[in-house]
Amino acid sequence: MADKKTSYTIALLGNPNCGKTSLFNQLTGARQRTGNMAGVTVTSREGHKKWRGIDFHFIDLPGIYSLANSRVEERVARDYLLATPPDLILNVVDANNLARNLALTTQLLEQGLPIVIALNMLDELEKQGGSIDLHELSLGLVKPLMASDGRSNHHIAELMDLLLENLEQASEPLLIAYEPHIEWAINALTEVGLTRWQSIRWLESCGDGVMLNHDEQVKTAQEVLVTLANRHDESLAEMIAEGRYGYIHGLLHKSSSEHQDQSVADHWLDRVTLNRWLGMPIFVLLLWVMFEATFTLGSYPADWIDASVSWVGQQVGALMPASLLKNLLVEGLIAGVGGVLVFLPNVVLLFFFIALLEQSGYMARAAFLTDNLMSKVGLHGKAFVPLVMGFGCNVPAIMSARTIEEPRARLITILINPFMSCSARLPVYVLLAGIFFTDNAGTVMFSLYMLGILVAFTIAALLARTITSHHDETFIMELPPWRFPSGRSMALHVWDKAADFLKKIGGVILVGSILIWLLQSFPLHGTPWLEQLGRFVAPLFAPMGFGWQETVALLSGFIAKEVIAASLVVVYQTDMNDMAGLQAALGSALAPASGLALMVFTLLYMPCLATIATIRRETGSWRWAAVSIMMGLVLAWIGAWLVYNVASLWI
Amino acid sequence: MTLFDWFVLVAVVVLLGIWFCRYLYRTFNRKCSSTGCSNCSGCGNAKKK
Repeated sequence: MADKKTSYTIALLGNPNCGKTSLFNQLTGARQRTGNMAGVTVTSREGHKKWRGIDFHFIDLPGIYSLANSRVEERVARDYLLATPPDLILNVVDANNLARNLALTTQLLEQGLPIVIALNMLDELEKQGGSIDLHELSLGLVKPLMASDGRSNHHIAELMDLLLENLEQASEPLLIAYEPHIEWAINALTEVGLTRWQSIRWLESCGDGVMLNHDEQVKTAQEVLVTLANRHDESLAEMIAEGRYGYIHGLLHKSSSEHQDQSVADHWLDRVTLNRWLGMPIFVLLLWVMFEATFTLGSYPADWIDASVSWVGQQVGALMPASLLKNLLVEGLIAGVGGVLVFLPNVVLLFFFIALLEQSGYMARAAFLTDNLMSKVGLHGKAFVPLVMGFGCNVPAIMSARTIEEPRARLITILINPFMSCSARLPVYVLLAGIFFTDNAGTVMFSLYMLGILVAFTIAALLARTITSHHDETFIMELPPWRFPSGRSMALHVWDKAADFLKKIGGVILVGSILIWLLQSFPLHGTPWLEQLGRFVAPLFAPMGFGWQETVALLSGFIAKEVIAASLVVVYQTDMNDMAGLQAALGSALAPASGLALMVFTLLYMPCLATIATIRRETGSWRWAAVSIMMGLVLAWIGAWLVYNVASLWI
Repeated sequence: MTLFDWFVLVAVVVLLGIWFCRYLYRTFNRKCSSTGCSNCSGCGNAKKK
């Protein structure tokens, strides 16, 4: 087998984050840092291993999803394979994302390259109850395959032997049956001298990556493109991806527990939730139910917390002698912190419903439903996750936009994220909707979230027309199977979010409440500083009917949006220091139209301090942070003014 | 205002000042993890590498 050659080159190739570099480290004993830095200089790494007298030279190529796209890493990998073909490719595949990973594998197989497949992270899949029939999968791919684990060297000897056995592997290109028009185009191109793989590659990239050698090839290729464009609305890349995924799904039906035939119920659920006409109304209805339930169900535990906070305030007030410390504790700390703590059940419920939608598999369907709309406004399919995360907190949501490599799509996702109403704004909505729109509070909250989405999409469409796009980026959307959410993971998810909220209450909200109390309590004689500040800025907000109290509450929201509710509690001090007292005071101070305008202003105005810092960090410039602040302020003022004036006509 | 009130007031102002300075510093000086992060393409830290 290897009697002449004693040195072989093995290239490791796989999707980003499939455990490729970990496996490379295990194979070579190297200590390469794992992680994929997309968009920066991409290099391959090299290492050696002597095994049974043969010198193995390993090349760790950058993680890629496809050989067809124009991303830097993909070009590096493609050029390497063309310029210096390795003796063997070790294709590392993540067992948890098998379909997506096999999309690259099938491209290698279509090219007829010699490969051995290492199935990584199989243990994780098995822990989640999944399984893969390795023998069946290997038969389907007609390639040797084995389970591997980059975290231990347990399988390394077996893997090295498998590589050794396949060093002189004979390879036949894999034939995938594409849609008839694509097959016709491939035949036309092969007749003028291209190989099948070159023809597919040429069609997939509309001319990129394959050099046409003479006029006849160029002429035929152009005719093929024109004919296909006339017959189909979708792009050739999409049609070829469909064919490839069809092949992969057929393969996985036989070998993976995740891809067994859908049950009747799953099939019915997909038909209904992804229906062209029913899909979107169902999505909107589910969101409405979510907000209605968040408000209605949350009001019961909120009343209990309110009663407890009020009782604690009274006890502290009764026990302590009159002093500044007593005022600080009762009017500042307990009133402010308690005033936000009351909304903990609403926040918990909102996250419970979001987790339910995510873990059941519905959120992936929602991403599928909105993908078309998102692409029309210039948003990338990958933006769906950061936008949904924005309902929780804009800070991690903006950071998660890093997964979008195309700079324009990423910048737009970052800039519109603050319009996705984060959970910090929820207390303000619950408080004000409960006062002014008691019977329709859920609907009002739902409308505010919808307004946020509408504004975000409109701004995205405008930005997409003003910022130059660098290149297109493909997005592979996977539909996970429907699952009944596990109680434990739901509880952990909700607890994480509740803990975040409690941490903020113990930090920025507590400090914000004390600051507001301090400015409200001094000077001891004369107009308090807070009122002076409020009255100074209030003329700006007078067209919406806001008083100085609402003005200072909005100013304090710059620190963190929850502080708005805390500020309102502190500035509208009532004898009982409870929600009923605050509701009565706010209800008599503000007109319902002003209440609605205050909610809209809270929704749209400048991001909080932490979000501004994140925008600056992620965009690398203060300019975009300033754009975000100004855009929010201007839109909030215009939106609140419009809402106040229109609502004044009706309510 | 008693002496105790003055003591409380000064303590509150000093603690608020320290807290806000720390909060602002930590908010605007957050760095990427020293070991890097997956798929990090946007922040200045990545561009320096």
